[in-house]
Amino acid sequence: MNHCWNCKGSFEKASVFCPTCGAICGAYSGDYFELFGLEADVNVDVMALETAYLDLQKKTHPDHFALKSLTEQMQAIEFTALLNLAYETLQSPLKTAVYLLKQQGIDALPERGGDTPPQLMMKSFEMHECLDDIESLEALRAYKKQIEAEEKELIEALAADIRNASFAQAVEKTVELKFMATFFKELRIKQKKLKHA
Amino acid sequence: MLDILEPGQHKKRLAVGIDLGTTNSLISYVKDGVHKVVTAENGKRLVPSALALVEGQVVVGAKAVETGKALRSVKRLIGKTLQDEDVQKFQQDCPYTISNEDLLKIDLDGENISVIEASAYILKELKTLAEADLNQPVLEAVITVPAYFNDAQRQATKDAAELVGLNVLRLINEPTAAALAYGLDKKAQGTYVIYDLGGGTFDISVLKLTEGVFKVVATLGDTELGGDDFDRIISKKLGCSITVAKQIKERLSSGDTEELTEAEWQMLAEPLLGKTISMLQEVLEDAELDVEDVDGIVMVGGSTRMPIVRNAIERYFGQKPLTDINPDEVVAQGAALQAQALSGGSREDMLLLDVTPLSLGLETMGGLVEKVIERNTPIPISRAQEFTTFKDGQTAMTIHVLQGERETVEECRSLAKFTLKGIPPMVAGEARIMVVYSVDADGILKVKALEKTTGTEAEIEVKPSYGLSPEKMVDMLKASVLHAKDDVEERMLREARLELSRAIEAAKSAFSADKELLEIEKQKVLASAIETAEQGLKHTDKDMVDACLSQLEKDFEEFAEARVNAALKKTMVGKNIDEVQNGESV
Repeated sequence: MNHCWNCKGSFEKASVFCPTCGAICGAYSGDYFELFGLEADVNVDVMALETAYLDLQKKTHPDHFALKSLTEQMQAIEFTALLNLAYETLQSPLKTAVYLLKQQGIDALPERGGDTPPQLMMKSFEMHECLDDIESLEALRAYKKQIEAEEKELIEALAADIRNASFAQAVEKTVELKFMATFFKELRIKQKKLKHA
Repeated sequence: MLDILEPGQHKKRLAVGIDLGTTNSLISYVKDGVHKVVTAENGKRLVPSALALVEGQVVVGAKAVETGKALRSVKRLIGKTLQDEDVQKFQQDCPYTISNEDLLKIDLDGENISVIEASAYILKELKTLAEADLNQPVLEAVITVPAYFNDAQRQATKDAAELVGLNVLRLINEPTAAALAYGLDKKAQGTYVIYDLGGGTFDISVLKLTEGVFKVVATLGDTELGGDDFDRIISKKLGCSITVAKQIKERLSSGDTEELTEAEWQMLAEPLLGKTISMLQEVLEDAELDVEDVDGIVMVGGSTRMPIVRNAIERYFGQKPLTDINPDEVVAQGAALQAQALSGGSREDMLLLDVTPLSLGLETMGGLVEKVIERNTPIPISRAQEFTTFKDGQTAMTIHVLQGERETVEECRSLAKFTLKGIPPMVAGEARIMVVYSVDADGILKVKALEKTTGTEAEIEVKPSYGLSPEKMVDMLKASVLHAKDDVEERMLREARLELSRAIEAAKSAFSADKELLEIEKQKVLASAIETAEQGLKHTDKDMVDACLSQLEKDFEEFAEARVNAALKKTMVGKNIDEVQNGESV
């Protein structure tokens, strides 16, 4: 049950604005997908997310409360902080996967980190060797395209795992996706080096 | 005449936009849909950001410049301490002495004013001009700051405004304001780069404009680069004064001069131009954009009038930059539009989404910084992180918040360091300490720490100063800065103690492992040396703690040598000398 700080009324369904008095309620109780009216899936409809995000920002950004009471301003800040976090999460398939697994009570990327599976270790060695051998920007771009395609496939498979409740496999793929994100950073560093060379 | 106003039915107040610049400042407003920059007494719209003392009175603007010894560019000092390198550099060119009694202070011919007060004087002058122009009090403003301003600089700017009774509706980034000015006039759509080369600062922002929403996707800047640097290189090259250099620079805009040809000027300015271009590259990489993705480049700041700057931009982007709006006034115009929007004349469909200009992080083991909020994250934002204790029975934990992109504590700016005390003694790893960071829409940070199992709480929060008297606020400011100074000393003491306790631990374990290497008498001497060092941990003076550390090291010198020799002996047993010399056994 949700409670409105303003009219003290209570309401059942998660809502950004109190259904009774219309006041902004910072502590939104629904999940990120509900917030944007999206289907709970790793593959988020990016256009729909963007539209829903901007629509909510237009109604809730603290700027619209600049002349309102301090309490209302604080509620707006609290809500938009959540909104920005939700937006950032759903923009990234990796973060979305971690979020979905967390809803199942699974910590896919624990702080201390588990052992890297041997297969991923091998893959990492191979990819780093490939990267080291690249000496031109064109070759790097081609390689990046290839890795991007692999990442896309991985995201599709991960999305399917979560849909099918195959969470153990989903965790493995999430770890791999995280590794790929780190690898893209290395790609960018190499790209910078080649550009400046 | 009487104005009778019902509560809640105030006459519509006009909020102003203020461009508080390093070299010049402007105040403007939008009334009946028309933007107007307020003119000063001398008919000029740019008010020099300069102060001087005339007959015991602080004067601001052109009057201060006329004295020939004006204090200028105080914006370079705002939110900084005497230790900052750029403050020292500033001192070299400044006729007044800067001190750091509590707040950073400037001795203006005997009148000691803080940097916040100096900014406040400029704001007061602007406010007075606007009030005379509008014939009504001005109480609310949107003030612009460089995108690269850190938390301390933003807070100090806000404090200066509060000191003169201006309620800051919002601090906005200067480049964003410029985009507002252009975007609203032209309903632009697409990706824009704002290139802002002012007198003293340089900023770049990448903005995406869609359906009235201004989204800042990346920002980068240098608070120590601007048009003044171009004057300086001319003055250095030709050995002339800065004033003469400025005149030459202006004449260079319309072709060769007696002193320098255009080609020579191009060569001379290349390092400065190159610096801005490589920052453009970096910010585009941040935003994951290519040069071709940019739909337009907005030029801001008086220095962008220089043809060499415009040409460099045109070459890099392969398109002409936008220069329709006066580059000196475009920021103030954006601020005025935003002020109007926030004070009730709001257009429902207009929205400005900003990002954090710098990453926020936390000190971790080994003096490293772990990023908690990455730069270019949309604000407001709130992040929580959980920590635990690493020692049995640990009852306190220090939380050190830093701002910057570098990896180590030394290379980032320390924002706050505070201790969460009263953690109930528990087994290491059992306490759950939640640290919450929130950045508001002005880019100002709050940090809160909470021990979850017991609810112990500590908070660093810059409270809104509404309703405080200026005296009280200055006191508050002093108190907070004084407190910060204590913090530095305490930190050094704490670090010294930590180092000593580490040495004691090492000495103890070495002693208990190998004491049989020593005669009984010597063992007694070292045991008491450890005891003395342990007493030393209680000193409250950092130097005393350091002295104890050196004494302990001295006492253990001989023993340490004996241990190394013994260890060497062990490795050499059963091997011939050749092997050892070849290093194969190591």
